[in-house]
Amino acid sequence: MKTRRLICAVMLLAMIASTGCWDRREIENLAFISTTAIDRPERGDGIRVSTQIIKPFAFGPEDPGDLQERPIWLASAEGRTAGEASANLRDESPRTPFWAHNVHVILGEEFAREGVSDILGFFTRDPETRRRVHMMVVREARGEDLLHAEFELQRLPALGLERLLLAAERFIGTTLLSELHDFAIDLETEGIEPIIPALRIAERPPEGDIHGELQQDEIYGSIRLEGAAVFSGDQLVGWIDRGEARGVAWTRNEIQSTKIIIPHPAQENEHATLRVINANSEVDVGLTLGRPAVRVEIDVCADLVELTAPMDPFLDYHRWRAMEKALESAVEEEVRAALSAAQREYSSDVFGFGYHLARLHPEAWEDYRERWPEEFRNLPVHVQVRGEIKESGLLMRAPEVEDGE
Amino acid sequence: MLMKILEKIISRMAPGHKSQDPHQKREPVPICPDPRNNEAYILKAYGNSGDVVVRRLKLASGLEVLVAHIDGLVDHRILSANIVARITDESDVGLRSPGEAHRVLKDRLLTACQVWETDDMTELLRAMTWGSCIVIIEGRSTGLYSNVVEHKERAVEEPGTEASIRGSKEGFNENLRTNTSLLRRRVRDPRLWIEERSLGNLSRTRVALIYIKTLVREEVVQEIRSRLDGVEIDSIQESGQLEELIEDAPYSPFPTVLRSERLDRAVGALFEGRAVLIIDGTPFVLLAPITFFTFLSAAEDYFERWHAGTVLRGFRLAVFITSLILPSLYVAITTFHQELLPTILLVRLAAQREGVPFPAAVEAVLMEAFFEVLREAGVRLPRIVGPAISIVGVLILGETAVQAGLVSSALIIVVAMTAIASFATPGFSLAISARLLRFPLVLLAGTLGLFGIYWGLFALLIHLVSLRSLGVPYLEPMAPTVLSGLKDTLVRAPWWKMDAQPELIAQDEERVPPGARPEPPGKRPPEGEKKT
Amino acid sequence: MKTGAREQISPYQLIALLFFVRLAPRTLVCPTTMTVPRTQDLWLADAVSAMLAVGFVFTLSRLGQRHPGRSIIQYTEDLLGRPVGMLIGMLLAGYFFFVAAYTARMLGEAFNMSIMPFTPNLVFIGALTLLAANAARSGLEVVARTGEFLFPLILIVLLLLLVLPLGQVDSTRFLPLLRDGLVRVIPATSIEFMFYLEFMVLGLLIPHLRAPEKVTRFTVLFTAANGLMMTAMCLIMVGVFGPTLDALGLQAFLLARMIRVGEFFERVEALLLASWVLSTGVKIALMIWAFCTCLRQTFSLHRWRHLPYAAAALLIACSQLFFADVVSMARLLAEPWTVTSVTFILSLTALLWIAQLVRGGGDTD
Repeated sequence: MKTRRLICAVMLLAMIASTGCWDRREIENLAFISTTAIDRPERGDGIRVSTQIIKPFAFGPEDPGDLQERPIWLASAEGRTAGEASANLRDESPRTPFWAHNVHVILGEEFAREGVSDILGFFTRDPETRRRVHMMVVREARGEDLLHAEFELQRLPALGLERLLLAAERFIGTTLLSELHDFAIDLETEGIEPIIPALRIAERPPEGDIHGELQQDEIYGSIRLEGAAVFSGDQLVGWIDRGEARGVAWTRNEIQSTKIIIPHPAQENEHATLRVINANSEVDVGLTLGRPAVRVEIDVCADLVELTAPMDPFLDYHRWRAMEKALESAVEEEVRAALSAAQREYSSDVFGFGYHLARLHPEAWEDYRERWPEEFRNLPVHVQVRGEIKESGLLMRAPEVEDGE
Repeated sequence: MLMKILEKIISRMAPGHKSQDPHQKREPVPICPDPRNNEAYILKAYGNSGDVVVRRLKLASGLEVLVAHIDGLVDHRILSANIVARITDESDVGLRSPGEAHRVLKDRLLTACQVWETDDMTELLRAMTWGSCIVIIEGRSTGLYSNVVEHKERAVEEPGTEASIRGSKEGFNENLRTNTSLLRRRVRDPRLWIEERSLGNLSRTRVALIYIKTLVREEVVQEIRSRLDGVEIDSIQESGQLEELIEDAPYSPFPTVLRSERLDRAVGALFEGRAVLIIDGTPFVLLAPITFFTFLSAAEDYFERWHAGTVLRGFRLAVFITSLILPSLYVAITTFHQELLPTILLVRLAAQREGVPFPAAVEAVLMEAFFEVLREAGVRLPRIVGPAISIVGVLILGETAVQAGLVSSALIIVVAMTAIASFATPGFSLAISARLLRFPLVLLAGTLGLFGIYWGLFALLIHLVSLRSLGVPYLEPMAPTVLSGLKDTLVRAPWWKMDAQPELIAQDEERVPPGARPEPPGKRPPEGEKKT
Repeated sequence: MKTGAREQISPYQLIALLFFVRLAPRTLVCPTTMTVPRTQDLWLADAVSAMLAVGFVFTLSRLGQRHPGRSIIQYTEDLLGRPVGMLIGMLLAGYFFFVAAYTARMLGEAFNMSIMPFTPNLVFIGALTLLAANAARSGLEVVARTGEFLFPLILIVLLLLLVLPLGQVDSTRFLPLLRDGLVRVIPATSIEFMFYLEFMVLGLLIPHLRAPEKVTRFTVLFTAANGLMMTAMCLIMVGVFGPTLDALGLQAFLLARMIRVGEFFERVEALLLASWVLSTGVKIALMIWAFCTCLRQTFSLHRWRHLPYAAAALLIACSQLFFADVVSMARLLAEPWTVTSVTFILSLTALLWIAQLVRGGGDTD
């Protein structure tokens, strides 16, 4: 009995010792990729993967705010597939590329126009990559170039970019965030096309001597959000600006909060600023005489935050109501603008009207599936907005300004 | 049935009972009528030890009476007033025959509290070691002995190892009799039963088994008795020794018997239907049966308001788990599952690991071992040098090791948190198990990552689930689930809610009658209605 | 294993064990989704199979109640004779063994697919199976207590997995329902039902139950609750993943990865991994116990202390030999195994029920 126990113990120990820790990787041997850019190679076919890798020792314990050290390192490699390119990264990286902390995938415009489906497999199949990475396109530049851009306010560009995107989603709504997860679903769902944020590299100001600038040799520029990129299938077909992007966001019910300018209710050439605190939209696709007709209902609830000219809602309550009307037409205008861009210019159903048709009238969808792009171009859309202004901020009326004359 | 048990117990409680011990069977040594021979025998038996005092007193009639005791064990005032003076002053009675002298001495003259009679010399010799004075009358082959013991003991002080903020400050001391008297003073009821016996062939240590008759389960007492019967050892110095000899799972790293020095702890255990074992010579008493969750409770849980007790129980469980798995989690996450940490935290960790020469698992084992050494040194050192160790260990070694890049400061934080967590576990012996089990878990984490940890915890769970403490499943009331027991496990329900004793441990007795919840007078039904 | 006094388990422990048989391992590799063309219909498979399972469990519990203290093998012998009983006993042993084998392999594959691609799955399977065999050797009570202890913990993990992704659910993704007709859901339903057949272990557990009178109520209610929870989980996955759901290999794992609450509470996969290891461990232990009990009762074995270890060794080997890779395992379970096991178990239950009616038609309970 005793010997048997001993044998068991020895076998267990041997098992533990001989299990050569297959998946072990020490933390200091990893290269944490924070942002990835995808392009076509300069010449030839294939894929060029550029990565922004965090340098941990720039965050050393001794001097956490060591500004001398640039916190990132850029590495890129090419290959026939994204997987091969990623493997080729090892040719120049002494540490193993580690994808789990990658938060952004930035597509170069040229690459996006040719179709992005080649890379989706790499980012969704490998367990190391996550489905929650943000997808973006750079306007008029290669994705790689964007990796050189940095933020003044954030040491890690990836973190800065993430803050930028989240703020856009939460406070201004002028672009439509799309994680790889959403992108893949939009791509696979019938009757809806992907739409993702568009970025632009803001050139660095000509005077390089700005206080607080990183004391690094070069900052190539910083990153600006600029509207959204419209896809058709997996191909980029064009751009829409901030207002149009918000028009799409109203429809897709993706506005959390935003600021919207309306004309002043009483005076010409003056404005009122509203802060939207709650917005809801519902898309209903009906069939009239066998043809689909879309009805979009948007409820907007806003607060008054700024008036450029005096007004006293206490006395002129009808003006308050007029502002609500103005809010409604402002929102509708944006939706209309987005609709005309999507229908006329790109004929890409980023609103998902086809999807709602398929959902609510599957039989009718069977007829339209094949020719949906053409149908979408001429789809009648009825937009109905209900606006409501709740609060007037800390002022009940705007102060009168004495005429200086 | 009950009467039988009663008789048995009474017979066990009688001091003569030790000759009934089945392991001590031997031929009785007869007592010689000649006092000279007896004197020689006694001195020889003790090898002429200097503390053995033998006197031959003469009665008025010329009969010799041998009186012997061991100096230092007996109370001299009692001895001289109640025994020696009584024998030498018997002249008014005028005893002549040995038989008469024996009878009168036994029944009238010896005024010490208890007087026993025996015809076995060995028993007399043994009685001397208990602090008895023996009296043998010339011409008789039986002897008398009487307990005149003097207790030399430490005062009842606040226990050093189990501090508590609220509650009694009394702790047990080394004297068995004092300890039993402390319990008696807390349970003033004849249902508190104390069974005593001697264990250890050489040390003859007194051991008392104490329980409340109506609360404890008969099987439990029977089981403890039979385990005590099975103890065969030359000496018992401390309760830990006895614990190892009677516990359920001798190979398990987990204690199945609780030891405590606190009086209120022992009293609480008695009232929950547990049994208490007191060993002479140590302030640590043993409590059984217990469960895993007993170790997570502290005495003042029951004295502070129940909210505090409830929250603290949760913390303690968390703390125990932390002290068990924190280092292994660190190893698993930094070497296998880097994706589980937020990016910035991960980068900081990586920055600290920069240039550390050991793999994280080795680093963790080294530092944990180093800490154990430090703690051991701290315990063994004389009080005065204590601070020196902390300065050398903590400041110099810890600080410099990080600065020299030998270990990462994150690991130092982990080790320190583990250490604090292990100090915060109230059951010290459970904290020791966690200390031991930490190392295999770190190895498992270093080879198989999170799977290794989960595997280790699963193995631990299977082990814990199969453990029993005197027949009570170790994880009761979680597995098997006992609803009433859950009131006093991870939460401590208010006293007026704890209506029953622990179900699998104690006999079913009502603890608090229903409707004990205090209510303001306005809400109370009038006195008259209450009775109906 | 203890052979003396009959080991007893409480109804709560029985429920906990059944939880580990079906609900908890559902978060592993799941071959069902591949067979449904539209993910919207997937939850119907869960709902319908749960209803079928309620019937199955009801029959099984009633049979057990009619034969107090007798296991399914023993009353098969009573009803159909010793040779048939022995045959059934061996077949059932084989069944439980196969269940344990694919459960173990699923765990190994899940770990390979999710976080540890380099470690051979033999290591996961071997380590866990040995532990499970150890538990099974200590007896049913130990297995039951382990399950009972873990039950609330794992349930909490599963509930978190249900509740936390609610923010990601897009409620428009549930329509259109049954676009291709109910017929297309039948394969998925039968696969889901095939997994419910693992409740066959009830036939061996009921004689150990402390309060056998109430068993039917408990098991039927539990099966219904189980089905409800699985349907809810399926609905949530459809809501989160939409049409991409059928492509995903480890849906529950990816679902856990989608969880992000308040920008800091994320990466909760670790909890799911814990639930995998612990629940699979309990299930394998139970299946090894069932396998050994079948053999013991069929061949009236007296010495069987080391049988669980032998079973474990065989199990480790077979988990490697039966399935070449994860795809072939899914295919094997989805088709041949579903047909075989559903036919076998259902015809056995029906046979017993009929025999019961014929033999003991008179007595009512």
